Amino acid sequence: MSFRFQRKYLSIPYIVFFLLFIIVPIFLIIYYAFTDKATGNFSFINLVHFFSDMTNINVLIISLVFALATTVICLIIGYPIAYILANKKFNKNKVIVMLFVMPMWINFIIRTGATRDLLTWIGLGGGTHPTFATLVGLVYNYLPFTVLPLYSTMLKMDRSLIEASADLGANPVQTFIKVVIPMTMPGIVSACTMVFMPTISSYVISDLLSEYNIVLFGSYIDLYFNQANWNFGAFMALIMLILVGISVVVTRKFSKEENARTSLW
Amino acid sequence: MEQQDYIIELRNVRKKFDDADDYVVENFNLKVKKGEFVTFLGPSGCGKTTTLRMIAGFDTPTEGEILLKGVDISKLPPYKRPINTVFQKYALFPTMNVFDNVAFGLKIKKVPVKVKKNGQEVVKMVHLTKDIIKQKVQKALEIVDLEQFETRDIQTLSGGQQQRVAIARAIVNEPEILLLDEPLGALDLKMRKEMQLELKEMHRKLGITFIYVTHDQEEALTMSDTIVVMSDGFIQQIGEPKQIYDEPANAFVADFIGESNIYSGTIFPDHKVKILNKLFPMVDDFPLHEKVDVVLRPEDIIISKPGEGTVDGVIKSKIFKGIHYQYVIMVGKNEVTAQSTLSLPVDEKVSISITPENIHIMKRDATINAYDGYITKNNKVCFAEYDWECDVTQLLKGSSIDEDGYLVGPDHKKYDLTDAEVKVDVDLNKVMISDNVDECEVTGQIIQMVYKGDHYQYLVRNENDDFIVENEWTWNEGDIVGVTINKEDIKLKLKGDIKQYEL
Repeated sequence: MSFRFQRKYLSIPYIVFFLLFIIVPIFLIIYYAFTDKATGNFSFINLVHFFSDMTNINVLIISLVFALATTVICLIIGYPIAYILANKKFNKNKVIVMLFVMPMWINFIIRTGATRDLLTWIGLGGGTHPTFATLVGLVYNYLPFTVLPLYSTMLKMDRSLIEASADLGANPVQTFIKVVIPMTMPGIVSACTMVFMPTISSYVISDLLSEYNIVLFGSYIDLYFNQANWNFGAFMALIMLILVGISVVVTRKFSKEENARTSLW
Repeated sequence: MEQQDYIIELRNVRKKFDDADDYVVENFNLKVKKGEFVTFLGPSGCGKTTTLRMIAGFDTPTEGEILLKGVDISKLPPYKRPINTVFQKYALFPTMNVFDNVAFGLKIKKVPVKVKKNGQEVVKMVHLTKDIIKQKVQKALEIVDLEQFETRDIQTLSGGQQQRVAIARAIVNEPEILLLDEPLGALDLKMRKEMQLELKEMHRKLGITFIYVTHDQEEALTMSDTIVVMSDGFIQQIGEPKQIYDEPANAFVADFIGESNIYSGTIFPDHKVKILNKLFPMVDDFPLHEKVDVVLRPEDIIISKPGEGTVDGVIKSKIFKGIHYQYVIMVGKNEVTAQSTLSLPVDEKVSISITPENIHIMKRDATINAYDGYITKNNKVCFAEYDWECDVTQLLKGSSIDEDGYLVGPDHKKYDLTDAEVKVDVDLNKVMISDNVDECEVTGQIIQMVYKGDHYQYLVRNENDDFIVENEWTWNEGDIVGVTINKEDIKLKLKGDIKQYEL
């Protein structure tokens, strides 16, 4: 019997990877989330435990607020930056774009440590201003993820549409609201998901910058896993998974179907 | 008072882009009457689109004024002008459907309404109501034959349909002037012909001023009331289609509009012009011995049996064109393109003649290359930003150059000609161009070419100066060529008296 190579065999490594690192871990999370730590039997004890303690809910709400705030601030800062970068009149070469991407080349921990020291030096450190410091750290780290998808959609945007809008009587503000924002919607959605999803589960930045004054959901999960309480940690991880899933579905609703295909997620 | 008759007037408009040295539009003067259909016609890069963009407000003129009903609008942003544009690539908003695209301008528009407030009449600016917008959009879509398309997405429409939406979106705002930037460029031939007629009909119905940009001479001739022929940033001719076709102002216009034979000719006594080495009778009045350009339209050339016409030739090629045959007839060294319904074999000897009214004589733009230059210290002449070898002894009869480089006259007086200002003349056929760009110190780009029967006339542009070149070899528009001139072909004339340079 001879072995005939078929193109579909090329997908085998991916199937293996997919099973090992995505499907199996998800099932493990679900398994641990619904088993009792003491007995090892199937139970809803983690669910009951999670929703009966207000602390857990508070941490979750704080995390959501931080993630939302970071996303909004990143958009407010990143949108004009991307707009300017994509405009050939202001940005004649790509060097400035590189400047915004370059911080990503530096090790994340070093970057965050440096931010912390800098903030402490100017008197806005985590000890005295934990919320501010955490937000600065999150925005700084995730700003490139806002700028890049926005920049690439803006590059593709047909400039003649802006002229057409002005021609039809729209002043610059009206043009921005009626033409530029709808045209860049795929970029906005992509930027939001790319910031919101990692920030909701980030914990190193908040730990380092708020000097452990602010506990986000990520650090909470980390705490339980470190205390060898895998079952409760897994349940919280499951909640996070559901939240991220919801955020993807919600953002999809905002962009039309054909736009969603061109966006990153 | 006079300007009241004109809806839009461009006065001495010039445009230069920030990063460029050259003007893309120069000395543009045009008056457009209300309701006129004006076409800007010219090859790509002639400045026609830039001019249109200045009228729309996307570009501001570097110099000059654009008057709308007598008021200068050249600094006004596009959204404040009562002018709408149909863009070359339509520029429809892909995020909106047909209705929203067409309604875009109406939804923004505010109209003055008189309202009673505290017993007093005040004028308030209000948006149009939904019903009015709907009515207007429906009417506009009716004009472009797209009644059933209101809810369709832009992406689902064909090119022709998108074109119609773009037109509806512009005319729905009832602009004073409608600008159309090569709107039919992306359509296939049959569609284009249909749309030409429809646009013309629309223009008649709406009664507004159309300013149309195209590079298609046939389109311009079919549709326009007035054609503005442009080349190289300059207006070459403004006129009615028939006038432009029958009486082109210069060789470029003749070459660009319709098919034509263009020859260099000389005026002879008794209303005769010498072309193709024969004297042809003509009707125009021109000074004797003047060098002129002569245009013969192929359809005006009468083919007859050898000896019966003015000059004999041999048929070199024959193409069937539907209604007629197109022949190329060799008369001596010259090619003559002629059209006839007669079928004649290739290599047949024929004779051609032209009735005097069909011989169009044009003043030549230039009969010689003339420059202002000066003599450098090693007795070269500097013009067109290059020091050319030349013979400075022609400035003084019987003179010679001594070993120190001074000009010595026949009376042994010495002259130092350094920095002396001179007029430089070079005959058109003495400027040589070649493909060896690397070996030539002076290079230029061919920006215009006209075929003249047995040779081409090129306009070669160096950074700031032009060379008009007559050459029998073929180059293409846009080619970069090297320019050389032989020492003995550079004719110099001193601007002042030679005495001031005496040592």
